[in-house]
Amino acid sequence: MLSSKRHITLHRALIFIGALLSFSVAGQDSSKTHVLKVVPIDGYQKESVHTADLTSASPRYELGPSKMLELGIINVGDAMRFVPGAQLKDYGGLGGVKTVSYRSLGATHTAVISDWNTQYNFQQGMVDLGGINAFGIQSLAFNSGQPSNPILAASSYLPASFIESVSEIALQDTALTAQVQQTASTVNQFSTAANINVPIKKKGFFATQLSSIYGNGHYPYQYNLTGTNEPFTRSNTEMLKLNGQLSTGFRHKNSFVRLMLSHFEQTQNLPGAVILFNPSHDQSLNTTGTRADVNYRFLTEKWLVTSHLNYSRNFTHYHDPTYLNAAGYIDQEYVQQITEGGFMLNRLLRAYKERVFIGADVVYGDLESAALSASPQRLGMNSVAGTAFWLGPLKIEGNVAHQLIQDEFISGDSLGQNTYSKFSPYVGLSIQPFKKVSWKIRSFYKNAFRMPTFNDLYYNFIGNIDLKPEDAHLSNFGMTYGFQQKGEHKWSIELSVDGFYNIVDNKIVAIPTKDLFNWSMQNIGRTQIQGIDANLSVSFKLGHVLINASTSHTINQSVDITDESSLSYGHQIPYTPLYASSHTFMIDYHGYQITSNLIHQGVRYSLNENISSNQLPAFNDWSVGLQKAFDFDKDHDLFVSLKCNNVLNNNFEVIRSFPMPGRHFLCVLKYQFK
Amino acid sequence: MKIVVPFFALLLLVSCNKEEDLPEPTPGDFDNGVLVLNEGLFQQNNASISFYSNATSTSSFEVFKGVNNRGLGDTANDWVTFESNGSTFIAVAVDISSQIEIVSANKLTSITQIPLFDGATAREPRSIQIANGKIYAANFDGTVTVHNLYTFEEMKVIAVGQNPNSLAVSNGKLYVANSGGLNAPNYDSTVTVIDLTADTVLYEIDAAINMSAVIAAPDNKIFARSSGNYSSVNPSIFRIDTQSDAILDTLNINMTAMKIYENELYYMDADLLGVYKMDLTSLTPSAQIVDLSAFNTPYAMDVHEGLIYVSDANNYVNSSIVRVYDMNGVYQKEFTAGLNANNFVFNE
Repeated sequence: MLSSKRHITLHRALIFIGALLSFSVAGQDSSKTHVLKVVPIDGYQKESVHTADLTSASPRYELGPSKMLELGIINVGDAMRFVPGAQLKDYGGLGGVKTVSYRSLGATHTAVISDWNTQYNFQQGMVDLGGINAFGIQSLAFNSGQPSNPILAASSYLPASFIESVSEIALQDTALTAQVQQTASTVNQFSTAANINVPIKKKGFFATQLSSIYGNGHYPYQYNLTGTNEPFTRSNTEMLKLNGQLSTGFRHKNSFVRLMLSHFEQTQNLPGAVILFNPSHDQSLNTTGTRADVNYRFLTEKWLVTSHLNYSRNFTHYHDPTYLNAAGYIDQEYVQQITEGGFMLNRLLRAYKERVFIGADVVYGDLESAALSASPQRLGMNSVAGTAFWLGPLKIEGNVAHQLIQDEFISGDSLGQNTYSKFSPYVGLSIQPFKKVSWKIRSFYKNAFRMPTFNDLYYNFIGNIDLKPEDAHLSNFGMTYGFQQKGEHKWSIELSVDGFYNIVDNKIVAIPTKDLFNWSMQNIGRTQIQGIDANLSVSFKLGHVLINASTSHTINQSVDITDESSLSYGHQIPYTPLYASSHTFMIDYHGYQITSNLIHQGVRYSLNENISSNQLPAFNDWSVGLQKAFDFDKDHDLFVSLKCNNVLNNNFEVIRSFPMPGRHFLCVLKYQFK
Repeated sequence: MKIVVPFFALLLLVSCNKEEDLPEPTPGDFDNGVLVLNEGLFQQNNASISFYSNATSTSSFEVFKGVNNRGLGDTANDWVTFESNGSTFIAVAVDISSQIEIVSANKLTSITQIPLFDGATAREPRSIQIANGKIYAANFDGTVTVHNLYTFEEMKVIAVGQNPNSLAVSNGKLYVANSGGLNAPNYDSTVTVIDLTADTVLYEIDAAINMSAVIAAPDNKIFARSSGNYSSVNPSIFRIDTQSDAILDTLNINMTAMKIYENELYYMDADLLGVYKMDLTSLTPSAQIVDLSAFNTPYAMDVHEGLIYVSDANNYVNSSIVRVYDMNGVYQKEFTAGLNANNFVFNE
């Protein structure tokens, strides 16, 4: 897969587009059965040079491993920078938290689904995307609307959007494969990782992946509020993360069962916000996580039945050795345990992705910590029923998902209860007016919500047990177009343009109540979100020269409509640029590739009011790279890449008081046996 | 493909329009107007000073930054003026940046920054007073630091109670309100008394939990506030005689801002949502002077030359509005300040 010759060839792109066309052209006969049979168990396409999924009735973007290498992506958070409409909240640096806001919805509206399984976090509601290593991910997709992959569980139908990743070790390969990767960067971040996937008599496989991220993370930065041009050093950033995973799966007739175990240990220092004239930072965070997943799948031409069971336990230890209380420090520990199980029943129609489905997951979790003396427990049921099918040129998708949650918590000397019940309907339509032209018009509506987290509800002093779920009405209207030219001058083009309109109500925000020291969570926000995403990608081949280029643009007007008398009424909400774009370019000549990627974000505001003191200037983050994949023989590949990030050495902050590194270099060495 | 071209042209337009530079804050001369200290928000590095000119009736923002080409710091809680060589200066306590910033009152040029650190640990100054040629800062790390007002050298570090939040000078002594706020619910409940000549602790006065403010009143008295615990224990006010250091009176009034003006105590009542005053001996509240019920977040109050200044911190996240009333509570004017306007200096 790493071979540039192999993966970048237009040949594969053509297969991809061909596959898309065969999916969407209705009323076909034998090809449907064919499609059904070649679909791998996870239902993914082979890697494309393009990112937008043109078959989807809702915006969906995919990134394969070679595209991720081309873009210099080393964790899942980095990948979100190239998703139109997604805004990465990046605290920067080694171990810096990265979360994503898609079309101005909070991070908790985007779920993370790894190897078909939802990653739950009842405490914070969101997953740190910076903590998910891109190594070993064979397919990464960003989805809005209804999951197109039938294998996913009922819980994946609830969130407004989700990130779906599948690792190399999650799926059976027909032959022995192994990968080893080392990365090093001049901002003192390193990673070492390896995996191996061993087939067992064509009936099953055994796979393992070990990875580590480490370094002191120091980097120089400039901060113009200090009034000097002297560089400072971002410090107290040391980190070591060790992660081990085991995976084994077996096939018997129509059945497939897989067991995955993972464990990680992470120790890190927290650099915190840069505080003017005060360099002291000495907090630390230790995290340990253990997880086990069992997945079962039964697939025939008519039925796809899946079920799963998983358990996870996370231990977090926060330490601040210089807190100004009587003890002189803060030491907090959190233990979160979550158990989940469920099933999904798909009656397949003419093709793998044409189906009627019903499913449910039951999830139970609790959190123990002195910081949440409520000791909350949550029992939830997520269920869904829906369909996806083609009617002539029309693709119709729809589902009704429901979440029922019952929390139990200690309140004084008694037990309190909170019950939530919310429906989340979705309907999506796409139409291809002309049979021979891959031009589609699409639209969807979804009513999504996010439940209050344990921290929102029960965190000592701050939590508010009366919170309601945050509500979001999402709508999208757009079009996609694909074209490919055969013959000597092979080229292809993909275009997607989507307009969106969202309303977020009962937005959960933290505000000070009694005074500046007493913050509390409240359902007070209301936001109106409208905008346009556009994504164009072009691939061109002439002789030995191959060029891939893409450009994506987002206009997003998201305004606070909470309170007409407020100074910030009608103002653009914090950390949301009116305009953002990304541009990628890659030229390949005999396997040598030069890459250029530019991320642009317009002016943003760190607080509600659109005034100069809250302004964060626009920035451009441009990176260039040189890479080469060496094919020693058909079994061995070596990939070498050198990237210069932030070439222009711009000072910028994505989050106020968290300055990003200036110009720095990243080197990636990856060996693959296949 | 025809629709694509104008669409991307539109995108280009939008992107160009947003490339504007940050507007330069206004530098200048700050006579005849009101300087406002704006606390800012934690970790935003946006503590600021704004200026309202009486002559032009306009506000200028981030004027310290405009003059000094750098930020004031993170979370500026308090300031105090002092005279030297016939000029007025201001000493600002910048809490999270852990600095005392000395500026000239009329030009706002920075004279010096005094870092307040215990080794590498920030002391976090919350309140500041000047007495006997010395700068006293109450620091959240449980100390009062003493610096020479002319050389800025550290003279002494005095251990006081937990998380001291406020200072007052009376009768040759310094009164320190110890909140213990970071130990909630186990608050401190004392006022530490320090001798201003020897700079040593004399003793502690036991008052009530969460002592958050002290102000000096004429005739050797101070008023000290307990903020309670924001739920079951209500706030209260103590009048203390600084001759005997005995508590003379206890008032069950939720005073959130206090100011002595012409032998009367002006205060905001957070329960009754108004500005009131009381005689310093009878301690009987007046009728309501200013109705604050339309304020989003009544925050700071001051009285100067027959005018009452009250800031509305607008839920602590938007710019403050300072509204000005005459002594009968009749609205006069208003002006915008920065984020969480907490103190005023009135320049001639």
